[in-house]
Amino acid sequence: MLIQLNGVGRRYQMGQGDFWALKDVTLSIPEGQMVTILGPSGSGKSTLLNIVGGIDRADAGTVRVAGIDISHASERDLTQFRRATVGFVFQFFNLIPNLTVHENVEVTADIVKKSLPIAEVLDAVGLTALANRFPSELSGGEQQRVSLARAVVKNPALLLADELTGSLDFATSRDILRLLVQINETYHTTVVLVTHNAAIADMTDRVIRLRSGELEEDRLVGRLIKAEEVTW
Amino acid sequence: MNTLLKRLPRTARSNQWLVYGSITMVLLACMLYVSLNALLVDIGQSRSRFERDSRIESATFLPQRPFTDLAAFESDRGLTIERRREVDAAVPGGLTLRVFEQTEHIDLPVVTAGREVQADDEMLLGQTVATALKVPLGTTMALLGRSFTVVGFASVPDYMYPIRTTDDAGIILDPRAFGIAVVTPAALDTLVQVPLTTWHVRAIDGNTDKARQALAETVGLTYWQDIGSNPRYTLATAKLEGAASVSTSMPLVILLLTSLLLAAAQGRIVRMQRNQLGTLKALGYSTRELVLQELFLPAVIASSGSVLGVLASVLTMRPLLNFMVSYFSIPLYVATVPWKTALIGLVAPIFFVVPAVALVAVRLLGQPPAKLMQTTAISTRPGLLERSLHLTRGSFQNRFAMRAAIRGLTRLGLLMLGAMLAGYLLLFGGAMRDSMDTLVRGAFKDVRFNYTYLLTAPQLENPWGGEAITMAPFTTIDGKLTFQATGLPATSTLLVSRASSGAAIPVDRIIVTRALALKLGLQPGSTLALHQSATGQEVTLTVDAISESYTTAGLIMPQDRLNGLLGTPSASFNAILSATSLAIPARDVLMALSTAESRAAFDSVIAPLYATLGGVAVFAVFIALMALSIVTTLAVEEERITISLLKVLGYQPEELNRMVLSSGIVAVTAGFMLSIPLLLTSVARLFTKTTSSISFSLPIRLSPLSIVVCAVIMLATYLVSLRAARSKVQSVGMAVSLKTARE
Repeated sequence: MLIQLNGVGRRYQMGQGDFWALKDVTLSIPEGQMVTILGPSGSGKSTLLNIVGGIDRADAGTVRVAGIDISHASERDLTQFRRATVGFVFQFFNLIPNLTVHENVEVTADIVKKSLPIAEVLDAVGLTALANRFPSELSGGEQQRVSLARAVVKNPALLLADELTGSLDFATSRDILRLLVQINETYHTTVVLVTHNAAIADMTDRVIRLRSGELEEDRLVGRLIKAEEVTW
Repeated sequence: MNTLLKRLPRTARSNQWLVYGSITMVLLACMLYVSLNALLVDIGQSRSRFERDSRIESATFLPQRPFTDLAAFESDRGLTIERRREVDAAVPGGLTLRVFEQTEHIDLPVVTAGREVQADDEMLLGQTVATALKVPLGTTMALLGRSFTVVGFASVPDYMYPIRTTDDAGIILDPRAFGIAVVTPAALDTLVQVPLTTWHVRAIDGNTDKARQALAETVGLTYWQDIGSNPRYTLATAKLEGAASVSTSMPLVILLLTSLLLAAAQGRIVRMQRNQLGTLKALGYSTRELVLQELFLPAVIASSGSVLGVLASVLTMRPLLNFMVSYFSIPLYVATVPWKTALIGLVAPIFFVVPAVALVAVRLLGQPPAKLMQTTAISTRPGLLERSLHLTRGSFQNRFAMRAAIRGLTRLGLLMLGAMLAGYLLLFGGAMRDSMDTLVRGAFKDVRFNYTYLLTAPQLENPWGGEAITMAPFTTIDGKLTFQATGLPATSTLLVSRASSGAAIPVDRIIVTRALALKLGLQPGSTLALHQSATGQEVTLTVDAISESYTTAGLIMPQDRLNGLLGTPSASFNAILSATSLAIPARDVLMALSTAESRAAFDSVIAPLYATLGGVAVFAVFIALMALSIVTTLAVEEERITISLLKVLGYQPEELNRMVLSSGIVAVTAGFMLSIPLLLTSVARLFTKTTSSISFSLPIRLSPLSIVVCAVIMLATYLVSLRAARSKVQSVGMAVSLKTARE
């Protein structure tokens, strides 16, 4: 198993009391699987994704990813884990505004030992012609492609995408989802996708549904539709 | 890592005002620090060598009897003694030159340009006069009916601070009105005026007291002045010591405040990038890599500012030294920037800025990436202060401005720091002006005479007119301070001493001036133990009153009592005060002092002083503009999203300016107010230290008018910086808020 969560909980302080965003979540995800995490706002989807990606820490339980216990890892080991294992795609792209498209991808390629060729990745996401543009000169869809290329260039074992179509129009969203499937199939990358759009779930292997921080449903769907068929 | 470095020039380009403003501030602060310190070191080293090369005297004296065998006396007592003659020659254009004969053993003139005199029709001209009046070598000058060719410029060590008189008003140097010249002894013999003769002694073992004792025993002394009591020497050293305090403390304070301001501003910039930093951390960058990355721009700003500052001070070293040389007559042997000073100038900004920014970055990056990416730079949660204020009344815009101010308290603190720095510099100029003004006005207020004649020997009859008085130098028991005691006749009307109430103090009292009282910590009723400078005889006096005179450390007492202390007949006198010029034979006059000339010297000095203070004010305004602009620009950058959102909602630019920028005025006012006590405390310490070994005190004054003027300049500067910030507010696009992730 690439990901193994056991009794994971995450607590936030809200005013005078505590609020558990995740409660006793136990699940595992094998290598190469494409998984959708569904749930309404505040259900703990993003929190779960952040904990799996090592950008947040659990307050309870254990998290093992690619054989590493990241719930108890040192800050140094956690950084190494993110660097070597995980690729992130964010809803609001989070590009470095004063770096070009090529440089935004290069930023990640710089810090890994065996990155994919940047030109190949940019070609795969259709950005070769825009390589020297700055993020402010791109549309939302183009920016998300850059974000995707940045995550993929280090050829991570795990690709985490948080509401990656949340800021995009239908056509662009389908395009991005198609790229995601392509990456999963080409590089055998495990993909965990957070969304509140149930339609997206049908194009993935498995659906995990959260409600109020608890695991409500975990089922295999077997890629019922193609990315191009996703509707809103 | 290399890719991330590409951000730097682009960040610099998109924040030009911030980056170049910061570099300029560091440049100015470094230049000020390095230049002043280097000046001090160079002048100090030059002075030491000058004193050695010119064989500076230990004291000037007048013997009561001629030496029977001077050579034997010198060899017995380990002393070098030399007579020197001088005459004052008026040169057309209001210049008076004190013409000395060339000496061979003591107080040798040191030639700073040209060559020494070789013929009787050649002369050396004082360096200060030559610089001030731009006299070229080879000029022919007529002195007392004879023509001389200027073959060189020179400095004489006992006229290191070349002033005409050493009375209270003569402390001001006016190189256009007074200077020195040196001719051969034979040339002096041919001048139409009878020269005044003074004797100079140099103690080989440096023991001046022993020399005085030996001379008093052998030939008797009518006049004695240690070089350490000679204002023409001590004013130079005191001013250099004062400059030392200014050179080491003020620029360091400015450098420190500038570095703090820069560190704080850069720290804010790091905070503003938290979303980017969170993303990079999520992508796998380590905290160390990101901290190093964030340190690069502040380090570049600090180091380029300091390198340019040190370079600028190297380039301006020579003109600055030449300016100093026009003030102190000291040959320039050294004109370099000491490596230690340059190193401090280079390292200090980096030393302060880099660790401060590193601290901010390390603390910030200690948070998990998820939190970094979620939270905005300024906390959106109301703090304790904001909650406790219950902001429910008043218009929304006012409440918004209040909330923005409370949430941006650190930023307001920064603005206050900038205002303090600028206020300090502005008020420094104001305080110097007011203090000098008080000193100058006080110097002449109760002076009703225009001429003072010091006689060569005590007299019993006064056929010349005026008010006959007695004057004698006294020295404190520790030997640190020498000052004049003046004995006034019971009928005296020309010199009035006034108490702090403004009432005249009767002349039958023992009165000390405020300047002396401050130096020795005296009060009415205090006991004052002294010894006579000429004979060393000890006396003890009880102070009856203190007169409000800051210009002269002096003692005033009934004439008969002073004569009693000196052992001279009770009706004798050795000086005359007069409202009009008196025809006293030159052989009887040791020194003639003119108050009118002193007044003229003051007037001629006040104009350049104002010009200097104007320069300080321009420098202050520039620093203020930089500091305030950096902080107001930061305010707009930090509030970009809110400004953008409010624009979307339909707020006008004027309303936005008021809501986002208006709270700054409180910080600027507070910073300016705080700079007043800071300045008064530091300048008072500086003045006390500077004047501790000389005969006057500088009262620290800061008039309400100066405060108002400085406040207006400060406000105007702030308004200019706000204009720049307003154009930034207008340039914030409405799309910013729509595209940016918020918590």
